[in-house]
Amino acid sequence: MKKTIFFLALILLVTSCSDDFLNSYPKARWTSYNYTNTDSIPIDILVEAKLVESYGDLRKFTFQWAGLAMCNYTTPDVEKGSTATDGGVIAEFKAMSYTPSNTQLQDYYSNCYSTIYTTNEAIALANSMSDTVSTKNTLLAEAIFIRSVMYYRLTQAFGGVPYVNQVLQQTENTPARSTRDEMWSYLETDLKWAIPHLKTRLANVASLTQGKATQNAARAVLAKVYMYQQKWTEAFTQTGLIISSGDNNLSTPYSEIWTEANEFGPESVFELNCEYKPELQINSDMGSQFSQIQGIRGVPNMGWGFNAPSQVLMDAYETGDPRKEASVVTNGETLDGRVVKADAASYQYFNKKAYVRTNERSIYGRSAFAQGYWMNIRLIRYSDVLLMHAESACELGNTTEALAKLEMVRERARNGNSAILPKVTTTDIEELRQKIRQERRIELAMEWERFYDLVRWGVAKDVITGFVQNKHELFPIPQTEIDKSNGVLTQNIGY
Amino acid sequence: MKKLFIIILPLMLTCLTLSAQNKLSINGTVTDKATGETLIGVSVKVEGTTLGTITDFNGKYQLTEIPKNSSVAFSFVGMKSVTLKITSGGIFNVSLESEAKGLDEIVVVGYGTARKRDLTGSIVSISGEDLKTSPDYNPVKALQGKVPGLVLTNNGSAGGSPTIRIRGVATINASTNPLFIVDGLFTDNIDFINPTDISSMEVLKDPSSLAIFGVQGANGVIIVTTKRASKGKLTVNYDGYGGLQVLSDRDRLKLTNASDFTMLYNEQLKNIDPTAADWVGDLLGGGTDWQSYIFSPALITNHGITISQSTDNASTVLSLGYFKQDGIVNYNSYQRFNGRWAGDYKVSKNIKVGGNVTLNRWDNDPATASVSNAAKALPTYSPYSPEEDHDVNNIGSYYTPSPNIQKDVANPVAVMEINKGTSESYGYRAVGNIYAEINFLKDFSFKATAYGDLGISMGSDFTPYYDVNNETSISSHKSEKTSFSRSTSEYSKYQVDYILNYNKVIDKHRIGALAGYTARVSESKGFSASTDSLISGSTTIVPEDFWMLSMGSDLKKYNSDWYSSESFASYLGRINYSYDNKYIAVLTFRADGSSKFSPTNRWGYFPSVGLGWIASEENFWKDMTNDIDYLKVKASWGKLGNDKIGNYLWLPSINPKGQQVVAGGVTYYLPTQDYVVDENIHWEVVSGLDAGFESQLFKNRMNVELTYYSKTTNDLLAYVDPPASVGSGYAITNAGSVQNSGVEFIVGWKDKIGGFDYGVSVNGATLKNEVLALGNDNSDLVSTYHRTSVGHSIGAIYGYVQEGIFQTQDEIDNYYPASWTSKPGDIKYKDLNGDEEITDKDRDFIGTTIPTFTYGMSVNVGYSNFDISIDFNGSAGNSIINTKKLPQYAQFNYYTSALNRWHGEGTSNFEPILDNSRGNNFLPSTNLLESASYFRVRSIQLGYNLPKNTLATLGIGKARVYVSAQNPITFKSNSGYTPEIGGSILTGGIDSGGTYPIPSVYTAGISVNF
Repeated sequence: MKKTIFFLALILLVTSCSDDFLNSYPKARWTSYNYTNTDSIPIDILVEAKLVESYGDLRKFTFQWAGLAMCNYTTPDVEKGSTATDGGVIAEFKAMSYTPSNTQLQDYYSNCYSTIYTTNEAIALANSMSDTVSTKNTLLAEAIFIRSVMYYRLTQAFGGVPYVNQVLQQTENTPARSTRDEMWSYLETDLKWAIPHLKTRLANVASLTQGKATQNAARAVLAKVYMYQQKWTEAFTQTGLIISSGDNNLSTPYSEIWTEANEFGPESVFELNCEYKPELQINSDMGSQFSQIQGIRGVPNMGWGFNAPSQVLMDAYETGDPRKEASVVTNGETLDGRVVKADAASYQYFNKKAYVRTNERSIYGRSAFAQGYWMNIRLIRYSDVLLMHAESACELGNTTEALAKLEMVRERARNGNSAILPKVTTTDIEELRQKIRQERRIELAMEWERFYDLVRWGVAKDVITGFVQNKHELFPIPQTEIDKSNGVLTQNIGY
Repeated sequence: MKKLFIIILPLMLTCLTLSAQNKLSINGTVTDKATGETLIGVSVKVEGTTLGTITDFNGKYQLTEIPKNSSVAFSFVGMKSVTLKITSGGIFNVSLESEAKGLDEIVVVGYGTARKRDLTGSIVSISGEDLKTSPDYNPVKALQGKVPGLVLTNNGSAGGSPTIRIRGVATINASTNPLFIVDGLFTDNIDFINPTDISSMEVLKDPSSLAIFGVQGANGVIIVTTKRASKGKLTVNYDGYGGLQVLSDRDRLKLTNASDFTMLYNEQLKNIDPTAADWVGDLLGGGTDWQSYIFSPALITNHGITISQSTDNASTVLSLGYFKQDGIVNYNSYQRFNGRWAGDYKVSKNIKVGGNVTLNRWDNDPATASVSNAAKALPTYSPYSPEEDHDVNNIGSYYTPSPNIQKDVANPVAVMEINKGTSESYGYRAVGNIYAEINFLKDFSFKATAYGDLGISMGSDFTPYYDVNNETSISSHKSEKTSFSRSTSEYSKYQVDYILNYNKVIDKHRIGALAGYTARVSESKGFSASTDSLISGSTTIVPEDFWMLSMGSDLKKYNSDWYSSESFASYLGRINYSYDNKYIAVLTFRADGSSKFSPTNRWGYFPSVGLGWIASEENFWKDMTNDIDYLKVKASWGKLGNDKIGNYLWLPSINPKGQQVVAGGVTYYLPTQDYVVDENIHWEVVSGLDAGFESQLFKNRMNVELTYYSKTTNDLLAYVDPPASVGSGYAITNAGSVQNSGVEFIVGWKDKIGGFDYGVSVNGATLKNEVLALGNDNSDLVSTYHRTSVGHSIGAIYGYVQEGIFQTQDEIDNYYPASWTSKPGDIKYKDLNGDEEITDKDRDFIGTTIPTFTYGMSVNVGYSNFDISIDFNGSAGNSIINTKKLPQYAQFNYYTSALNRWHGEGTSNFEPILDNSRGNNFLPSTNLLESASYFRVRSIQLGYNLPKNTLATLGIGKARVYVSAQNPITFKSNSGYTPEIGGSILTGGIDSGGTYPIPSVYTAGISVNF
């Protein structure tokens, strides 16, 4: 019996300490158990952190990979490029055969929203700041600007989408889609509030905060929102404000725009900062694959060769237009002192606007592996603004203003050679309209506008083979989003 | 033998008071009544005393000095015991009869053993002998097709472990792996065991058998018992086999050759752009068959020597083992050395102590060739470059760069050869226990066991400099750095069990009770370091002697370490009761505390109850004349848990300097948290029901078992994925429930015709997996091909249904409009909802990734000294998604099925036109679906037992030679190497052509007993 008691005692002994025994905490890790943030970090820094994350999001692969396919491969001006079968479902954009199951559209859509989520977090934090903090409104305006860019992208591509302007809990369902008009009106309100609180490009350059949103960037997005609605007066006003702001000009020669030296120059209205300087510990997470996607496929091996100029586009340049030379890399041409040799199976032309020059490739410890990771992405350039201004003026019947701004763009393109690109003088509205549209096509070739311009002008069905009217104006809402929403989200017409 | 010992022990103890009077001597021979052969190792015991012996190699025994009028019991596993009353000395020859199969067989259950007759749940027991038909390093593989409800997905790589699911999939994010218990130790795998050391494996499936394992039990439990010495003089066993693994031609991927590829690719180019120029590769005709470069027949061999001895007070086993398997993918190899010692000592009348330790060393060379690469690479170029391109400073120059239309698919031979021998991985593991057991107060025993499991693994990896490019190529297959990394990791686990047992037979009542406490703590930690570049300047080739961290530049070194621990504490109890061998009740209870959850959610309670009725023991039954010799009806219910998720999920990491912000010239560091957290998570709760009967018929020649099971998992640990517009940060939380139910059966027949013994056994299990609820308002969990939805199986495949191929524009014009524009050659999808339009509403659940019926069959025939056994297994009802057909990031080689593509009216009604710009042909649909059903000849073994007379003269007790074929033929219909495709629970069954094939294995072996 004594033994029994002994053993029972042993059991009790062992068990009495078992609650302690079950405490297991990780090592070399801070958790909510062992970490309390003793440094009081000012809220504005917390907001700043969310903004850093949001700006970083703009560099995401999908915005370049799917983004270029959506706005360019769909049009005859741009070939998908690379080899014929490369790029998987990206080929569906060229063939206008994309479906709601297209994974690239899914990525584009959900990446827009993940940035919207972050900006909403930033806004919530900023709103909790005391009104006396001087930077409050600037931070709020930056967050609202980035959110607006994402909603602009979504609305442009998919039509009305769920408008979320607060941080939702994961158990909440998505709001239903707003209409396209409602989206435009949300964006007008948001951007109009943001503009006066943002800094100018010159102020950013002065404070070494290049890459942060500028007043003119917000104005330009607002002008685009107006132009979609054919609110020409309002668009004209906004572009006019940009022009009169003195923050931008056309002093950068066309062929020099896409160089590292001219980053955030006077041409820059909305430009994403990308960096890759291994020697300074700035690694590829600060870079973008924008240049790699489009880089020369062959020798020099600069990338994959997507988003390439089509024969249609090359034929559309006026004789002697130097912008052709500045935009197109041709197999066999001598570039940076080296003969370009396109891969035999690949498309033979490349987009020079994504080409990084030799002198940029060997500095800061860069290696051939990083194919142009440091190249900034120029989303809105000053000439885009001028042409929007000209277009609005033309639609308003103000041919003088339209001709003047058109000429500014052509004059820069002429680069002093008076024998080419004659000044446009027509005052016939329809003729001038076509001239401005053509100029926009050439000036912004292979950039971010062509498909949406064609849709906006209502001419996509005439230009794009396979374009189905009342369907292809919008991309389909990704199928998995509709499936996940429990029937709240509806599909666009025709899909 | 250990089992026998345990039953005999109480008998011995209860009768110790008897004293000796008249002494007699007896001797004789024990034979098998059926065959007349002598039986070796039969236990001969004088009841009520410690006297006893076992029969020798000739079946002979001798007992001296036994009391007059004592009862001598002759017992042998699988035979009915015979008891003789000895009134005078002399010769007593005894012949034993096979007992009604397995009824009094002892099976291992949680924390103890039980007579099979007393079980109320579903436990399948496999003996070590049965495992011998499967030459494999991992004994678990032998269970395939033998245990209804156990679904095994093989892994063909050298030393690869299969994945196991028992009775369906009861979770969506936690692990589905069963718990292994090796001689009492809880573990995740049994890779460290030499199969020849195994005495038995028990698979526990039902909730009442599992509830004693509480939070560990939800996925089923496999108990492994290793061998202890049999009573008798020193014996030495040798078991060994050697053989060859081959990838049979019928299992290879059917890929197009160079001419066919070129023809198809050019057709595709023209389909996309009719003006496209022809593409020309280097080679035409057969071209390069990459599969033949990366696969070759591979050796497999295993040797085991076991030395065992047992006396009255001590028994020991010592065994040594060596296993080596080369992978059928070149340069893949695995080897393992094993040493094991086990001992049991009777220290005094009531105290027994013992222990067991297994030491293990393993080496693994991973395959350097990529199976999927060989499936993707074009047949149009040769692996090796011409000699004039060779450059001694660039090992990449010896190989042809991949063609530009697949610059991201590296030359498979180059990958294989360049990486050959660059990575090393090996380790040690020691697993052991010691115990002490004491019997007291007549009916009580107490056993304390301490376990340890320690492992160390080491790895290193070197990346050479190479560039597989020539002047014109742009292959991305190159490495500009010579990086090197090394890592070591260590884990340790300690467990203690204190078990108090009470056993009593009072009249017709048989009572057993058990109470226990167990605790376990495990830790894993490790260290890794790497350096970016072992070379500087223009040197490109780094000799192997320099593959050391010390070689790298100090500026480019990185190191890290890690640590994780978990602990568990549990109380458990069980009461077994049976009355008159007719009525059985089993009650169990376990309380589990786990460190994986927050202090308020740490403890869980898991009860179970099992009931049984042996109808055939009733008097009325015995009075009836019928063919049913034995019938038991049983039912059980129990509650279990699944906590097999990562550690610390309720406690996410905070990185105090997770983010850096520069504002106003000041740098701030912000803490970031690595995921959003639900601090209240707790384990998944499974409750299950199991009901059925077991019977033996026709003079015990036939056995039939039928079981219905149903288990429901509540509080599934799930990541809830809301629409993108809601947000992307989501936490793991308890949300949802899923049910697995089905029927399992075993039907066997065993008889003898003339000199032929034969047996046939068939088993099978059905499975219905159904989601009952999901978090977030039952919103479906959606991915491209899969959908987990209430009312359907987990990870069901969802999509359109193909009706055919549009042959003409006319046919398209007369068909329902779709939201895309079809052209001739495109897939014609079914209008499932009848709205005369083809839209997303026409999708449906088109397949499941979980087999709905799995089955096995085995046939044994013995004649004279020959025996042959054949095992089959099969699986049906699940599907595979063949994503290799889809457009990819580069052009891949085609399956030959692409030759059946549509290329003009009437050419195909299934495979669409080759054109990767036609998105409507790549929608998730039945076009991509392949059946994963298969039927496999699992193994064939032909054995010959050498005649005893011959052996006796050589001093050999027993010798057996055999030849065996494993997986010689699999009947399947999918395009990939194997129909056994793993994958995650929510998105499984995707075959992109890269699954490591399952080889056919041909071996010859010998088993000798000295």
